Amino acid sequence: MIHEVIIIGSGPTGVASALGFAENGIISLVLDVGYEPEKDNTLNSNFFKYRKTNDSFDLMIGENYEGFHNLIHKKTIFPKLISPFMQFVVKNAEKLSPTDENGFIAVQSFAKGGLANAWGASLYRCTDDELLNIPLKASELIPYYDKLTKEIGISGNDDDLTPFYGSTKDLLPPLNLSKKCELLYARYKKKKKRLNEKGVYIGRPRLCVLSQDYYDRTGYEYNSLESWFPHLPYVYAPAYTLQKLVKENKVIYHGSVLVKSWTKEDNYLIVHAENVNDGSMITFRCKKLVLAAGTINSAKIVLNSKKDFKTRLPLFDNELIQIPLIFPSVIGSKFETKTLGFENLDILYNFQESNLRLKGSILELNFPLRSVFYEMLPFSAKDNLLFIKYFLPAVLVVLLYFPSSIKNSGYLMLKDNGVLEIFSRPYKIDKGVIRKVINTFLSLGILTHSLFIKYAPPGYSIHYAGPLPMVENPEHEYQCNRFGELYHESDVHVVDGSLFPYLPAKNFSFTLMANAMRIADYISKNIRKQ
Amino acid sequence: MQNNEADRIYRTIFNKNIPPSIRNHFIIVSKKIEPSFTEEEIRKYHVCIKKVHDLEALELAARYFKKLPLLTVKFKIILYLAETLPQNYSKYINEKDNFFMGSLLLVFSLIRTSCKFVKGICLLAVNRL
Repeated sequence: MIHEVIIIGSGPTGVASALGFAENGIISLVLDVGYEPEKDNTLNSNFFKYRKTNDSFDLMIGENYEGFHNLIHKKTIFPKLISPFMQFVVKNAEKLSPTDENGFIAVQSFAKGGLANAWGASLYRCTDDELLNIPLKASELIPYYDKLTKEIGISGNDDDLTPFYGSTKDLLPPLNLSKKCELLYARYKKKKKRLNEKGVYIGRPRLCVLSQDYYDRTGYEYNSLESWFPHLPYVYAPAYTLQKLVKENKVIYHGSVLVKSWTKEDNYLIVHAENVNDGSMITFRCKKLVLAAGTINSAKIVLNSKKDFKTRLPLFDNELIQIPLIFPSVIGSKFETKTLGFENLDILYNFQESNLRLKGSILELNFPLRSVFYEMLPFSAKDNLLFIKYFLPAVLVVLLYFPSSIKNSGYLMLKDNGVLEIFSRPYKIDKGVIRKVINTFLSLGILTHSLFIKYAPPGYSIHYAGPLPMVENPEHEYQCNRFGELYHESDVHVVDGSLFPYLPAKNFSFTLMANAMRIADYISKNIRKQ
Repeated sequence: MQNNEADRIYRTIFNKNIPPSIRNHFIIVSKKIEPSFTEEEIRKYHVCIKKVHDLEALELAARYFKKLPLLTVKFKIILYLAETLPQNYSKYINEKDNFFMGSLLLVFSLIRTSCKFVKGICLLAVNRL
C-alpha cells in the first residue's frame, strides 16, 4: 500500500501537521516508537496534602528507584523527569538513538507525544523580528495559531506583554498567581513606567493549562500534580489531539517503529524502520514524507538516508541561566501548597540599544520532591534542610532564556557506527546584561546577586534548532525551502525545529506547531492539484 | 556495613533511629549506585564511615572541595528516602507562618555551617581524605 503522507514522530509538530492534513481531508500515517505512561496516576487530591498522611515512596521514588536516576546514571536530568511517572518520556532514548554529547545535554524522546509530555506548557505566538533569517512572516502563521489556540485551550491575559506575545484571541482567563508573584506583579505595576523605559516588561505567560473547563477537559485544580504526573486533563499534551484524530479515523497511528532512513523509488518513497520490539526491519511506502521526529532525530534520519558520515550540521539552542529571587519579608512563611508548577509570570527584556530580547519565566520553587534542592544549597546537611523548610518558601526563580547565537552554535555529525556526535561551544554571556537584569529585581525590592546565578550547560533548555535550515533559495542538500521541502528531495518535507536557523528567547514550540500546520496545508493543496 | 552507614547518616541528619523501610531501600539503592564509583572513592567513603564521628562536617567540606562524592550521594539518598515518610513531612515543609523563628533559625544555621565547615576541613586533613 502506498500512503499519501507519512509523518515521522508524534511530538507537537508531528501532531500539528497530522491535524493540518486531517483538516484537508488527507489521512496520514504517523510512524512512531510511541512509549506511553507505564503507571497510572491514581492521585486526585493535593500532592502535599496526601504526603502529610501517607507513605509516598511509590509516588515519589518509584518501585524501581526511578527517582534516583540522576545518581545511578551520573547524568544531568531535568527535575520533572525524575518522577517515576515521567520515565516513559525518555525511555530507551540512549539505546534507540545513541549520542556522543561532549558536554551538550541532548534530550530525546520516543514517547507518544514526545518531549511535550513533560513540557513547561508555555506557548507563544512570534513576531516578525523573531523570525530572523527565515523566509516567513509572522502574519502567515496567524490562521494556524488561531486554529491551534482553539484546539489546545491556552490561558493568558491582555497585558504589557501582548505586543510581544501577539493576539489574545480565544485565550482563556489567566491562572491564579502565587502570593510572591502577586507581590512582584504589584511592585512592577507601581514602577512600570520607569521599567518600561528601560525595556523591561512583566506580564502573564501564555500557558496550555486550562483555567476553566474546556470541552471535555476539566480546569486546573491547584493540586501541585503537574510537575510530577503526565496526561493531566488540564495540561494539554499533543497525545490528546493524536488520540482524537485516530478515534475519528483521520489519522492512522503505527507505534513501536523507529524510522531509520528513506530511499526513493520511481513515484514513491520507501521508509525503512525498525520494529523496536523484535529488531526486525519493516518498510512503508508513501508519496510524501514529513519529518517531525524532533530536531536531533530528523537531522539524523536525513544524514542516514544520504549515508553521509562526514557533514557537520549546525545545532542551536537557547542559552539559559537560573536566577533566584529572594523576598526577605516572606522568610519563614508557610509553604504554599496550591500554586502552579509552571511559570506564574513572565519578564521580558527588550534592550533596543543592543538589539537583544531576553525572556524570563518566573516560577515558584514548589517542586514536590524538596530534596532536589539539597545540592543547590551550600550549607551543611541539617542546615540545608532548615533552608529548604524556611528559606525556599521566600524564593522564586527566573529561568532566563537568551536567543540562540551563531557564536555559540554547536554542530552534529553522524558517525558510521550510528552514533550521533554533538559538539557545543561554552556559553559566553555578557556580564553587562546580567548586571542590568539583576538591577531590575533589586529595584523591585527583591534580593539577588550574580553570584547566585546558575549557568545551565549547553542544551539544557531542550530547545534545539538549525540543522536543516529553511532559506529563501536552498543551495545545498541540507537546506529546505520555505515549505520545508528538502533540497532536491521534492517529496520530503521537514516540519520540526530543524528548519529554524535561529531561536528567539521566547519558547518557540507554538510557532513550530503553527508552521507544521502551514506546511501540511501546502502539501495538501499540492496533493489535490496532482 | 550498609546497615551501619544508613543508621549513621540518618541519625546525623534527623537525630533519630532510621526506620526499617528506609534502611532497606538505602541498601538496594547503594548496590545500584556503587558500581559507578571508583574503588578508591568507595574505599575512602568506608574510611569516613568507620573513623569520622562528625559526618555532617566532613560531608560539607567534602562537597565544597569536590571530594568524597560517594558520601554526598549517600546523604542525598537518605534525604530523598526520608522525605517519602509522612512523619518527616514537617522537616521539609513549613506549615506555619513565623518570620522571626524562621529568620532566627536561618541565622543560627549560617553560624553553625561556618563552624562545621572549619571542622570539616580539619577532618579532611587529619584523615588524609
